[in-house]
Amino acid sequence: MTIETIKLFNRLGLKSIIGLSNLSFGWPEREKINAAFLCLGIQAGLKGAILNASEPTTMKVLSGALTLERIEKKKFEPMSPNSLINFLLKGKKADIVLKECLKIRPDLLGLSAMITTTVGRIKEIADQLRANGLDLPILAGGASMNRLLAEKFRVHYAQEAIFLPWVKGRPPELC
Amino acid sequence: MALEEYPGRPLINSAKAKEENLRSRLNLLRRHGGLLIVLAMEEEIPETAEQRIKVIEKALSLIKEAGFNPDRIFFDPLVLPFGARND
Repeated sequence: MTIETIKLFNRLGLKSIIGLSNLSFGWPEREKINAAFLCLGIQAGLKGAILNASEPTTMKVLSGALTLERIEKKKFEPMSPNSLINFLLKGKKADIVLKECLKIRPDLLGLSAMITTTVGRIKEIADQLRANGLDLPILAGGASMNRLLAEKFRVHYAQEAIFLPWVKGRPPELC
Repeated sequence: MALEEYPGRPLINSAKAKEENLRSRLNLLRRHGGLLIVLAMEEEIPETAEQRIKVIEKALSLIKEAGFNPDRIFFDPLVLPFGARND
């Protein structure tokens, strides 16, 4: 019934908000009911909730739902094929990345280093691109990257970057 | 008055969709800024989603007539204890 009402609000272009814990009033294990209902609400387009922030399950569901929503939005953002380098040069050496970049002339280069032993490769690539006159923004992320390193390497730190290789009409080339 | 002291952007909870109740909250909003939550009810909580929407539609016209952008308003569909009613 609440879900139905939220959907009707959406249709009028109105933002909905609920007092979440009202639902589980008088029930045992309120937290699991609250968390489940929050999820249903978000699915229906709920825009706000007054909730008990000390419930870990509820907060995790919220954070998970927001993450999914972000990914969903990113997926449907129109991407122009020449605005991003649309293939991965996984494990490739700096000179190969340089060669590809000279060929494609991308507007942006994204790099990711997952382990501390490969993070130096980002600096190597960045230095080599600059030395060859390629002055494009470089986004660097991955588990072993951090803000301090990014500054040192003179690249942009991409803390929450997600790589979606899907570009309409141009399938990604995975090397 | 709490609204004068509050350091952030206040969210005023809750106005009923009843005319005088809503008007007094809208006046607070006009004077102090912030956001407002409007409940999908007048005196009693309507039984069905359709009835709640009717109440909200009425409130919406009042909000617009008072010169407010509905963007500043959140609408509460009213969650009731599970099992108590048909939620």
